[in-house]
Amino acid sequence: MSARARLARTAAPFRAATRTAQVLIVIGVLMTLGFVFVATLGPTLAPYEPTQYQVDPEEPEAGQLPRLEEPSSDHLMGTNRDGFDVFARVIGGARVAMIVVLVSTLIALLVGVPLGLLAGYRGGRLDRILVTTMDAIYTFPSLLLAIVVAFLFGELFAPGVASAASAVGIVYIPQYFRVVRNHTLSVKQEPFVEGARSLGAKERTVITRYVFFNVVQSVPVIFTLNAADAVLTLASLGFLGYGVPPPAPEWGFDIQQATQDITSGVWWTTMWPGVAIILLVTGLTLVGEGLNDVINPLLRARGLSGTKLRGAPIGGSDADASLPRGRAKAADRDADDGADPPGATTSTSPNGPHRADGPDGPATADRDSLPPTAPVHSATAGVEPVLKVRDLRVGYRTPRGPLWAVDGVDLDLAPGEALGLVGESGCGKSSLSRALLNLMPPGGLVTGQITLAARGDGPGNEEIELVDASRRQLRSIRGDRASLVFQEPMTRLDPLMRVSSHFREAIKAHRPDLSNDRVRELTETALAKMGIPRTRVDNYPHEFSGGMRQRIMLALGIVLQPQLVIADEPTTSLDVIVEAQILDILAELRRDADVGLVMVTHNLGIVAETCDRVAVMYAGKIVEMGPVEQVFNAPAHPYTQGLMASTISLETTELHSIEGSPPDLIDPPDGCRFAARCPAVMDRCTEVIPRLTRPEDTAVDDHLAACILHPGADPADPLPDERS
Amino acid sequence: MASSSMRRYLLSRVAMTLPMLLILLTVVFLMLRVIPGDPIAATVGDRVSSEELENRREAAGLNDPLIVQYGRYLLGAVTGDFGNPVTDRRTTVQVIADTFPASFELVVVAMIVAVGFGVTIGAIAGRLRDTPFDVAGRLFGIVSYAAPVFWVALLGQLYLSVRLGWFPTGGRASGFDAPESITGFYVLDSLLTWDLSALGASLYHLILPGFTLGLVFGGIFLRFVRVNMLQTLRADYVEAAHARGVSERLVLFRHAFKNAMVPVVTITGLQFALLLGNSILTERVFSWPGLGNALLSFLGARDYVGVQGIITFYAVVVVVISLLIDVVNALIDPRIRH
Ligand code: SF4
Repeated sequence: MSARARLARTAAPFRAATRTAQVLIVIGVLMTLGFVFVATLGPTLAPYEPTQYQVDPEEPEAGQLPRLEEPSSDHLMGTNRDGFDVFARVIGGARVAMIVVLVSTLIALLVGVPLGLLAGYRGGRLDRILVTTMDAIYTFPSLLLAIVVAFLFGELFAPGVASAASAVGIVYIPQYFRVVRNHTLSVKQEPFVEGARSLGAKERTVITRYVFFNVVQSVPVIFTLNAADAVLTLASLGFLGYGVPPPAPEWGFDIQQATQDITSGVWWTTMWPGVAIILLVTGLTLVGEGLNDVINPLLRARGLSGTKLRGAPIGGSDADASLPRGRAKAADRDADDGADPPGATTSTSPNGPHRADGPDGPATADRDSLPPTAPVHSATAGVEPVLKVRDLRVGYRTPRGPLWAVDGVDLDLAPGEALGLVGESGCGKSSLSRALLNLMPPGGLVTGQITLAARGDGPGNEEIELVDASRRQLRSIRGDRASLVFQEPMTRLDPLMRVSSHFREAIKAHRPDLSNDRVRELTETALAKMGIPRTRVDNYPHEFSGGMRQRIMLALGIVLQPQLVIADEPTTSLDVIVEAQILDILAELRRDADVGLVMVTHNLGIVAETCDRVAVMYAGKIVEMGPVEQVFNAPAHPYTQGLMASTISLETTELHSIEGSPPDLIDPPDGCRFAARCPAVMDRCTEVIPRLTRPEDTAVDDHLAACILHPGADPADPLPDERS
Repeated sequence: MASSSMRRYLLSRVAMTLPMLLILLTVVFLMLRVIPGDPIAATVGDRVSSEELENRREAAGLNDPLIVQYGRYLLGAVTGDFGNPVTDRRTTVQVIADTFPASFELVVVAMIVAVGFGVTIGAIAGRLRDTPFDVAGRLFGIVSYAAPVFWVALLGQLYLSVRLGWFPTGGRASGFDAPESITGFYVLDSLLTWDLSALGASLYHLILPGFTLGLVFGGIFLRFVRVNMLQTLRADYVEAAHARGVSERLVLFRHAFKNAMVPVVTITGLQFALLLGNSILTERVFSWPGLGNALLSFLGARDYVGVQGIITFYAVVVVVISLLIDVVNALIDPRIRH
């Protein structure tokens, strides 16, 4: 890797950090550099000598300058009671502080690192003793420890920079020890260490080298934060008289000397050394914390960096890369909508797949006058879809610009219907599932239309448009009329709350008037349906297995009898038996309660088993949609065909990736997004965006694919019904 | 079930704490033995005859083999005998009893201040990440951490006490102001005797030292709570609660904030120890008659026995506090109990 690429990679997290974080780090670095500059060059530049306290022992009043003079142009910060220039003392103090910081860190490293290596490498009793000792030192108040050590070293040797630095340094030994020990321990178990041993390399060398490279990464943060602390500890020692003794200029000592001035109204002798400490410690802390914020992935802002997303295009070059894909194109489309919807916002009929085979099914439709009345010969014809999605787009902010994870999706879901949503990871299916509840992280944006049908009648059950709904409306929908069941059952329940409390909270959020007994009853029934016995209702989440937790999540999702359940990979990481149980429960739910189900998964077997229809997503768009049998047996889109070919058995196999990788969604290619990986690609594919149309040779009406291999998919072609 | 697992957890914690205490005590013992000369000689060596010196050495047990002294020291520490200082007529325990309540009271007030403002601002800043409030709060947290305890105390003393006269310049409530002494904790004593004027006086003296000490540590809490809030706010269970339609307020308090506080409780023990250490600076500035000042005067007199006694006491206190914090943690977090 070239030096430049390496640098770019190291800097990547920094660039990904939020603007505020970047500014704070830069300020911190500048402050710290300023301090280093002052500490190294300052004393030579300073107008007066700071350290001639006892030039002449015969004459204790050695200062050559007037005492306690107010700040003036001669003495920027005034003079102190010994007749020295405060400014010169402050600058001299910077050098002392820097030396002590460096020496103390060196001491902490020299002791902590070898001990850490030793403890981690040898393990056993030695390790236990060392760890306990270090813990003990760490627990002991650091300032007291430093005072005692400074006192001891002062008695043993002589007070001075060395004793002060040792006293300060001892405090930090445990931290370096711990980092090194933990890395050593973890690397000892690595297979390559075994490998190195069998190759005859010295195990110790391998470990040391590996640990070194790992520790080096965490040292900057520890170092800067410790340096900040060290400055404070040194000053505290100085203030108490156990630091670097005079005549050396040391901030803490100077402040201590200045305490006598305070009552007589002299403020400058106290003020300036204190300000110097604050500036330096602030600078160092900004750097250390900033690094931590940037390096620690747990703290990385999600979607808050980069340009803010807006629903409307903003002019200029920026708009070109991103926003037109949102509303701008939608607006074009709106303009054309009247006669001929060229945006290919085709949709499917709301009915179940197995039933639709009418001659003139609603292959395409204007999105404002969609199927409810479409002539479909089926049992559910005329049934209002429980969920109607039009031109849905989901965008996130990223440092490189907006990313549209879902880019113009239309779909309908009938009550009792199950739609499988499949695609490779990153195709936008998880974003879509969250967007259906308009549940976005900060910085996320949903545009388009999501209509949830009325649930019977009565207040709060009206048909509702979720994209523009207020937060309160959304809140009342979520978990009540529409539920989202997540994957990762282990982390979705609050570890501090009993399972019953989760239920009480969810139920009370939507039915505040229910009595506690009734709430309890609902909870127990919902859980019992999932096979969680009544006796476990009050347990904490960690007392359940993953499968049980997933069933608890499901019970939470359906306790209020929603119209719509969106299940995001509800069975990943579960064993086959639990998986079957959960799928059964879902099937029952839509059979008995007419719940519409959206099943997000990358497991085609599950789709084949449980879904009526399937929608295949690729790079933010639905590329094929239709009855499961039809799509799986006779896929019409090259991407789906690739998926099917690479899937040996639908029962077990998950999506295998087709050669190549999905396009960059921040800057997607023109035309068909699959073009780069498509075996059937032609020139035209990169020129137009294919729209979803019914393939001419398909057996059913509601089978749609977005590929210009099929007539009508090219936006320039006439629409199929016009053709006829 | 819960109580038995709790008991088991506590026993295991105590079992882990004892070796730590043993090591701390050993380190303290060894540290004060590496100094050349002995405590008697160091303090009064030049003022008494050599026989007298020898007698006092013998009486103090300094002529016994080191291992015997070590055993005696450990036994003493466990049974609450921290030795007899050379420069003070009182036993170390008496010195501690006279001064520790003052320190403890100071530290408690400082802790309340620190937790109060640190947790509030930190939680709000975390929730409002990258807004001006967050930036201002963070900077305030960093600057208040960066300000040396003694310096803030000095400035507070200069402006609020000397110039404005709002607070006393130092010391504890004394004379007629002080409550009748029962426990030595003035606030507690005045409450026990229901002496409201003494309570007022005690608090009046406590506020400025407590506040200046607490402010500095509030910065640490602020930064820590903010970071924890950032993490819990994006936790899976928080998103899941949103998805269930739980109100913003409840999600924030019941899920994000409560979980963010778990690690805060863990560091509270460490912070308490740090506060106890740093209160020595506040005590110095405000002439607060606490344990820190007692330690400083023993150090100044080079009274190793006194120093050792007080340091030993600090070690015991620190260990006990960390044990208490573990208990509190286990009460809050059901995962720990198992
Ligand atoms: S439109 Fe072209 S590139 Fe896209 S899937 Fe069809 S043939 Fe392949």
